[in-house]
Amino acid sequence: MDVRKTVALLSNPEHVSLSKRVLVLGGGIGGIETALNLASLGCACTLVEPGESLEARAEAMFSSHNAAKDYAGFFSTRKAALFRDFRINVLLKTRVVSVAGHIGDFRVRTDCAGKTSAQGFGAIVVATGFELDAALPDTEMPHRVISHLELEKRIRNFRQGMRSGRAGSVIPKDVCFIVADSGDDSAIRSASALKGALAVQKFWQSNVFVCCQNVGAPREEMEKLYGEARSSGVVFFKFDEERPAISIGDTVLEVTVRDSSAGPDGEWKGLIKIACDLLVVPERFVPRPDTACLRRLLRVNADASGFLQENNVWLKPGASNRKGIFFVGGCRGSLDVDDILVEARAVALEVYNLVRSDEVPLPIGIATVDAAKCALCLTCLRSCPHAAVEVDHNPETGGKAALVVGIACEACGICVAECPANAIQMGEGEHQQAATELVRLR
Amino acid sequence: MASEFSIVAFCCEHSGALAAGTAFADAGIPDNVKIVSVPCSGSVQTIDILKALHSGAAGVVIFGCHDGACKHLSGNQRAKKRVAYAAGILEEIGWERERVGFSTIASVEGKVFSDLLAQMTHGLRSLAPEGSEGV
Amino acid sequence: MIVAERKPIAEIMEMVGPRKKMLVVGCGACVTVCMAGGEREAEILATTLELAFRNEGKQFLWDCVERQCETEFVEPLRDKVRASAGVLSMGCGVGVQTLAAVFPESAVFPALNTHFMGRPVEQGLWAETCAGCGTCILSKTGGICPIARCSKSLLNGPCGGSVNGRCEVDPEHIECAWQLIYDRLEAWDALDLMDEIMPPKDWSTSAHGGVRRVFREDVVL
Repeated sequence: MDVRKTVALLSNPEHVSLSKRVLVLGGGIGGIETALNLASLGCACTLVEPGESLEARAEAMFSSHNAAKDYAGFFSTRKAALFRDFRINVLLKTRVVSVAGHIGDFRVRTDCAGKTSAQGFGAIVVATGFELDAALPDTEMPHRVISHLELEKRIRNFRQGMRSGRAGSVIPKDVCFIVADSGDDSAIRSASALKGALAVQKFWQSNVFVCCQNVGAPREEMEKLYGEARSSGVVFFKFDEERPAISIGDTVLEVTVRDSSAGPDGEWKGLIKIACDLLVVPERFVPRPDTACLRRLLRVNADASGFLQENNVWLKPGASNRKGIFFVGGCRGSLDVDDILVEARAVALEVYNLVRSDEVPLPIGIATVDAAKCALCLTCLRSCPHAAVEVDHNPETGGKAALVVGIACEACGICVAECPANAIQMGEGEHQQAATELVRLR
Repeated sequence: MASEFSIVAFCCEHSGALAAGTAFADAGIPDNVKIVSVPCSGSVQTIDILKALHSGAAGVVIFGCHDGACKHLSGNQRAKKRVAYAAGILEEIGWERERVGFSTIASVEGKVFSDLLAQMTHGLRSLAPEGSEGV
Repeated sequence: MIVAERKPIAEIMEMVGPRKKMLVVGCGACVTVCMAGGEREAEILATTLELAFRNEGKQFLWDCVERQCETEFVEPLRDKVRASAGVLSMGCGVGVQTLAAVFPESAVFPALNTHFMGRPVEQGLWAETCAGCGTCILSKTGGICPIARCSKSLLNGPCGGSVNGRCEVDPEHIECAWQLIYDRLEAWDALDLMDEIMPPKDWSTSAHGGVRRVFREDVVL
């Protein structure tokens, strides 16, 4: 009755050799650091960046949303090191067109100004960064509401104007910051607000008010920043669930905030009204628009917000659902430069451990497809959480069939269970044995 | 040897099987439960569920990892859907859907494991005996 | 491909009737791909029926062939078919009738309802795409078939029930085929095709026209 054919398995484990060359996507600080770390570990890298130069990203990165340090000089040093390193091949104006293959042998086609080329890599690190979305609240005085980046630009212009003796634009008298909690990027937004507040105090000498939920000082520099801000006269208000309301005054904006330090009793319910010429709100951090395309090319998953790497406790910080593909930095939602540096190093070590052996044994118990029974329905290809299934020409049958790529298979058995033709077997078929054991239950 | 109201518990080796181990060490596994360890709850096939019932089990349960904790990312969701499919088939032949179930569990939840099985056993006792042997 | 679905099991159980032993036959082609009657489903059905008829002790064996519409693939089942009181075919309507033709003395029953020719939109969702009308007009409609995908099989543009690209018959599930056609032709810069009026369709080449055959003299042995 049982028409399952037994697939002969090799009794000796097979070995596959891995390419040691690593592909790094993205020329921001994440990509640069990963490439430098990899090179120092002895892995040749190719860094691919669609932009004309590596400057373009730095501007977005070195906005005030980073912590107290100033990274501009640091970036220049690292960039110089990158270009000097003979082990790193930097390809500008280049984008990835297609990615085939698996860990140890990713076959990548790239396009540079219309010219395509192909190369093989052992592993891929995605460090394509994030984007900032201004997300300014709607008011009838839009010229009075700006983002952190915009504030930074204005202060920069003001300082340049001072140096060259030109008169700047009108300086605001009262500046209000609103920083609401938003999850992972809260600390960055707070730091950015603190830096902005200090800058406004120092250069414009305006009155500065900061309305925040939590200052969120997980780091020393933040504590320092906060202390500096307080002592220089920045006024802080803390709100809880109720967000500050923004309304229109005669000529200026009015921010009404309920300060949580006010006691519950008494007439004063903690409502403070701040009249301000300028309201500054932080940008939202969002995945870059090309992330969706990249996901399809690489067959990797994202989380609910669209940042790469789904939320799963088994995935180490840089890991993806596919062996050999890693994520660093902004593209996976890491926004703090210090975090990104740590990630870059960690991922470089992971990659190095992966590709340093000349040969790697195939895992035991992986799934194998009986090509003669395969109906090419593509269910296994679609269902495999590790993207370990391809369609390939099968020499035994002479036709095409699904093929489980051994080195990418994690032996979960999902494809076995999904196959409508019962064409896939795991390992020695122990699983089927377990099922038939049950027949003896009676 | 199947005792009355026997249950076959397919246990994911990363969660269910470990919980079973904890339960075994603490209070023991009741006689009516057979543990089958699987690499992922998503690897249990519909036919495995039906064959277990066919072999005389009164009920079948799959234990998988909690959401966001499946080592194979989507295996627990596949298992949940497959159990729902099997329950639908049972309903079509006039059997109770409650004979099959899916539960997420963590490796340390030995007591939860035991409690869930006890609950299922109790539930099976109260079902009409038309479908299963050993009653 | 052909898209089919298993019949409700209660209906299949009625077909079994008084028979004590039956053979369930799956097909390795279309019905495997749409998860209705492949080897996996054949085993599931056989096991389920044995559960359902447990008290009566009925036996349900199962097997699966490469393609149920070919005599050569079906012929090897002869001994098993003879040893059973009847056959439950999990092939499409063509497979059922092939079994019936090759084993005319046996009672052959359909375990599936054969629906349409279609394609998977995503895993688990199959949509009707081709109506087999016999006079293909896809060259005029940007590769989108209004016979199969327009609720009214209109030939010359949408009706008033087309709203926001959805069909009023079932806006949640049905896109307006003519909206799709328009968008496609626009993308091809071929909107002048929309201006060509198609005459009333000659349905004689479709199922409405009667029993159809295709004959190729050059390949007849």
